Amino acid sequence: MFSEAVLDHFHNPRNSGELSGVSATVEVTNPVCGDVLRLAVRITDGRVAEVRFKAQGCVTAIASASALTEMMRGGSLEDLRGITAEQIADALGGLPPASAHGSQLATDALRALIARLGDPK
Amino acid sequence: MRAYFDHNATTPVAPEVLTAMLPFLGAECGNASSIHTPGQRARTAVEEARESVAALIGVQPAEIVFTSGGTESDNLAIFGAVAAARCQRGPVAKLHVITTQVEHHAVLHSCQELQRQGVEVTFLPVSADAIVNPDDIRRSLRPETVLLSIMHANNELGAIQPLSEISRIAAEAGVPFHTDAVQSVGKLPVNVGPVSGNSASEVRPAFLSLSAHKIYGPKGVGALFIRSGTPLDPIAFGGHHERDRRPGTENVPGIAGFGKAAQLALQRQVSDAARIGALRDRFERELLARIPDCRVNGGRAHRVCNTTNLVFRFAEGESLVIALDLQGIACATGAACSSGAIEPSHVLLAIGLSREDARSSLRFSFGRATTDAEIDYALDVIPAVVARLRRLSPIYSDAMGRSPKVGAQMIAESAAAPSSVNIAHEVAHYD
Repeated sequence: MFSEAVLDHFHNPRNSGELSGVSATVEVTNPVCGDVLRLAVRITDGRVAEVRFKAQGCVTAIASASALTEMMRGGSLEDLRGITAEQIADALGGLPPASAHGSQLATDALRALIARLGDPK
Repeated sequence: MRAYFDHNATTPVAPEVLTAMLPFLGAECGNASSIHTPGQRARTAVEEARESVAALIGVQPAEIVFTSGGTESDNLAIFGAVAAARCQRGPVAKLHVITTQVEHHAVLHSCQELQRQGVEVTFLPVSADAIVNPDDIRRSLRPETVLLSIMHANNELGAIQPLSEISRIAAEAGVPFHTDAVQSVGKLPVNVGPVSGNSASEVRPAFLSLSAHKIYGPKGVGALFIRSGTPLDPIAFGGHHERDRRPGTENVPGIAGFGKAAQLALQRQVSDAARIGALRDRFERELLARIPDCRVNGGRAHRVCNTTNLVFRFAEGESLVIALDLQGIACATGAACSSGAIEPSHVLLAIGLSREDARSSLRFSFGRATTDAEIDYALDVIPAVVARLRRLSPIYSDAMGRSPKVGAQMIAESAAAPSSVNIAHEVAHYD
């Protein structure tokens, strides 16, 4: 039902927790299934120095958020813009259609974060 | 350690049951409809099993029809009774069926299909304890009511419906009464035969559904009790099996196993219930003491012995199930995205839970093989798993920030105020 990569990220989430000195924080929810994802970054010299997430939701939502943070680390804003739901799904060994909304929630958070970084207030 | 706490989903086949089945998966290959010796040996096995299943619920063997399981039994009772009423009342007569909002999908979806076919259906609400109010049934009865279908024990909560009163209401109204007893038989004595003389406690449904694999029998076999003289049309056609009520070659090994499982249930149900009930109560009590923001869903008074359903706020059901599974503990949740069920349990919503709490609920159902050691192990593992998922939850840290009464150590430091971006996704594929 779940790939080994999904279970690994779910069981040992990367970059989970809170972050101090953040450049931007966003929180997105999927009202259909109730998943919530909070994503925070600290940008140093135009690149992601630190990223943290917190999530309450299904296994795939948590695993997708974890995988996303790994892809974000060290990236420029331009790199972040290039990350897609498909890439997250690929990093997790592919996601079945019923679970695809997990990677979608992660990219929704990323898009919101990029918007916030571009327009900080 | 592995702990299987999902006995309401299915139970392991008892060793005695397997022994009873094996000959019919091997040399005993006869068709119970054949008149030769191998056929007659199969027939004998089927009829002995029928006696055992009948004895378990205190009825006559001729009133037992074997099916492929509880779902088929529910379908046969509902569509068969409505078809018989349609025959009696004519093709244009209005027909009405009464059921509840907390039935198993086998009944709920069947009744929704009846609606699609033009039958009116009343889905009665239940109390916060998941119990239907008998007065609501009285008020819902109409001249065109042709069936009452009300479960005995609820699969998610274990709640036991007041069947003796419902039975009386149905008898007074002259409406056939079906009960899905898949989750009660084997967990408490169920006797629906002609009994005792104490008419106040009598439960006399016209139809009662049973399943073998919930009582340590094999999957793929069940039965419908049809009280002698109750009109019921078949819903499938193709042979004279089961007294013209359910065609198809009998599942001889499955039925033989069901018969043995019924014998064991009759012998053991009272002592099993006492032991399992004590384990369930200890599990529940200690878990509530060890985990803050945790409570029992539904009522605790009128419940089968083996079931508890708990809400673990700030942790999501599917994640809890998988995190516990990674530690060897098997339990159930109503809504798991990965299984395609993104809607929270209809039962939990019907008893008034919020969608959030329904999504954060787990069912633990214990059984004959459950041990004290398994309970101890789970009492160690579950609080840790809940705490881990809560540490990961942004909602939990916010809530704890506002109300520091529970474990401020959970929260590191408060982040910059997050923005809330609500994005509705179309989730296209879930079946």
